[in-house]
Amino acid sequence: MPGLDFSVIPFDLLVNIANIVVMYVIVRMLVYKPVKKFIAAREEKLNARKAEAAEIRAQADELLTEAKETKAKGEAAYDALLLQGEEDAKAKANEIITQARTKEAEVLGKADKIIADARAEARAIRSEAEEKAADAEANILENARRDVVDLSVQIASKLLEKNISDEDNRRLADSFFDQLKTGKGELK
Amino acid sequence: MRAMLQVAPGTSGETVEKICASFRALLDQEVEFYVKEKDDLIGGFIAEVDGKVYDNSLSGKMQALKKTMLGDM
Amino acid sequence: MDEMMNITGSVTDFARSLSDRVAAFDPVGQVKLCGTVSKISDNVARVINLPGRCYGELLRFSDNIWGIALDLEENGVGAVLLNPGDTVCVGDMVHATGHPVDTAVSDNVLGRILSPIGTAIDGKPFKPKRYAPIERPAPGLISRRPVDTPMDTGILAIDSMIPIGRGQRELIIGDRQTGKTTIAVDAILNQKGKNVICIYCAIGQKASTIAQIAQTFEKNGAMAYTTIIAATAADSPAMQYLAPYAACTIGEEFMKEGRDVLVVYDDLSKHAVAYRTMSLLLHRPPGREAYPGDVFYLHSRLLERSACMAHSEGGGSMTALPIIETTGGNISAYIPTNVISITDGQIYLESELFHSGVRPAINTGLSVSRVGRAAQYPAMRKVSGLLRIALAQYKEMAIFSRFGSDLDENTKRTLAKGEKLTAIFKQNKTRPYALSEEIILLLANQSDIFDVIPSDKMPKAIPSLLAYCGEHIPKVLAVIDRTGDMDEKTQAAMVEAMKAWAAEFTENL
Repeated sequence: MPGLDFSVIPFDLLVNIANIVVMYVIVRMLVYKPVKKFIAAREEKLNARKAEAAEIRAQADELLTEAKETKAKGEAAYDALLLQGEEDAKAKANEIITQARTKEAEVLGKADKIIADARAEARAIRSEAEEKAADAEANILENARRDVVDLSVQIASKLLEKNISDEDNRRLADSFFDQLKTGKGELK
Repeated sequence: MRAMLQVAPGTSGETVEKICASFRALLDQEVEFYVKEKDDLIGGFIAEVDGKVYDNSLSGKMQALKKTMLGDM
Repeated sequence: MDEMMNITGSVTDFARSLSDRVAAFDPVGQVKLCGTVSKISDNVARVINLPGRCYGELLRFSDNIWGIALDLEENGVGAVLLNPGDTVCVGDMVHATGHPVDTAVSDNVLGRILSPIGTAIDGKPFKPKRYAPIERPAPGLISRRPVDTPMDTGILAIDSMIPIGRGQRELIIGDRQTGKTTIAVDAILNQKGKNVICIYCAIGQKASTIAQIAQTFEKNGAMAYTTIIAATAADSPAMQYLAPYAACTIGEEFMKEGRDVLVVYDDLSKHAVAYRTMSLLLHRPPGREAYPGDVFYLHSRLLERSACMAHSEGGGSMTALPIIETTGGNISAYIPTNVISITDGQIYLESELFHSGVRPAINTGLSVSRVGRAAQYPAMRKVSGLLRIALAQYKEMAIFSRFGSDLDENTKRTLAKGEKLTAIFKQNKTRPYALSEEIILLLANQSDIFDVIPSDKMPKAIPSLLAYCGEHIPKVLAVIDRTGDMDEKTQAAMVEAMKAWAAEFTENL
């Protein structure tokens, strides 16, 4: 080494390099590791949150699927209910119509019966009235006959009363005893 | 025996005696008659003797005639 | 104009007949047997000077008052007046008719209400065609034949367990207001269309009650084949005494023509009381309970005239339903025991059953028909065999169950079945069942159809079942009504229909 010229050695460069190394060591020791630790922790936290989120997402997916299923079931049940309701309503409507028809027939039947009964009653009343009229007529005729007979007998009695003599009485007595002798007298 | 004799008005005592005698002959018994005049007999007599009524009155005959005329009425 | 012609014609005919009669009249004097009233009190007259009278002869007092000679003595006759004797005085003349008491008998008595001596009391004119004496001897042994034809009453309890035959005497006995008259009236209503003449004899009843019964008959078309003989409570004891004999005489005339007759005597207790009244007034010695010694004969000679006649005598029959009223349920009193021993069975009605809603209130344990199953239709015999036993078992169990102990299944089943059977036998009045309806109900019971019906629904179930069967199997029912029999095919068809009804009925519950 024939004579090193120290004026040509770059001390600035060396200082800068030494600076950098020192800075590197310092930064590595003071900043890089904590920061790395911090980042690692943060990464861990993030991972945990990611996992949590994934779990929640999975749960949510599950719930969503469940909800979709429930919704589908509900819709199906709703459709079924609608159908059932429709059928029930139709059946009920038919029943009501049948009942109404039966009632109509019953009422008409009753009305017919009432009319028939009324006619029969009218006939019965008429025949009773005819019977009563015939009875009344028979009564009147019978009474008239009795009256005629009574009157005739009364007239005859009145006439005889005036005209009977003792001679007639004697003749009556004689004929009576003759009848008794011949057995003609009526024994009652 | 006692008996009742009802006669129509206008019957003489003689006729009454004849009637009583005829009854005595018919019944062949001594009969004592109680005689009464009854207006509504019209003619003839009614005698009640020994549980029997001998109705020979005109009123009785009129009633019988009335019954016959009425028939089954 | 026609009516005027009719009247003119009638008058002309009458005038002609009058003149014919007058022309034929022979004015002979009359000799009448005649007595005198020596004593009159309480409608009993002592008549002297009237020898040679017969027992039960009709006597005519003045003013159209009639009496019956019931006491024949050497020096007089004791006569009971049939009409009120207010106008009869001592010394009045009494004429003997020479014949016993008689009553009107002919076809024109049907549909009428008559007194025991044949006068109309329904306000319409009545011309009897014939008269017959009310006291007649009963048919002899040879002229009878065994009872073999049913007399349907339309009452299920009677037709199934206490069957009555044509020509039988079946007593209806019970306390007051237990439905005795209702049973008799329903039996008469059920004879519609069966060619049976009915006679209802009211003895000592209220006139209003008789009018009501007449109205019931009229409303249900029964008057066309029924006669009512009425001696109301206002009539003399002598009229009440004659009434059942008059009814019996009318029935006998139809029976002689080969017809079937049903006579109801409502009731014989009052008849016995009327006879007792008459006997005491005639100073006859009183016996037990003050009844005269011949009170048994009073009813036996009446009821013996009801018979089933042999074919050689016309083949007719007269069924008697006498009614006796008891007091306090005592069927061992004098008159009830008399009549029970005369009749061919009794239907016993209990007040307790009546008030607990079992109507007709028939005590099937004490009721009996001595003719029995010989007077039942074959169809009825097939379904009514074990009814009495079932009811008796039910009654026993019912008493037992009141102790409230736990019951086993068998007992519960017996109780349920018994309850339903009792419900089946309940029947509304004036609603007699046809034979087919009775068979339906008993067959349903036999085939356990009612097992699925709750007991409280039975009152609705029964009319519903009858209506259903009437609608769905009318031809089958018509065969039963016509023939009285039921073959296996018919029975199966009926059970099938009943099962269908049960399914429908329970669905709608």
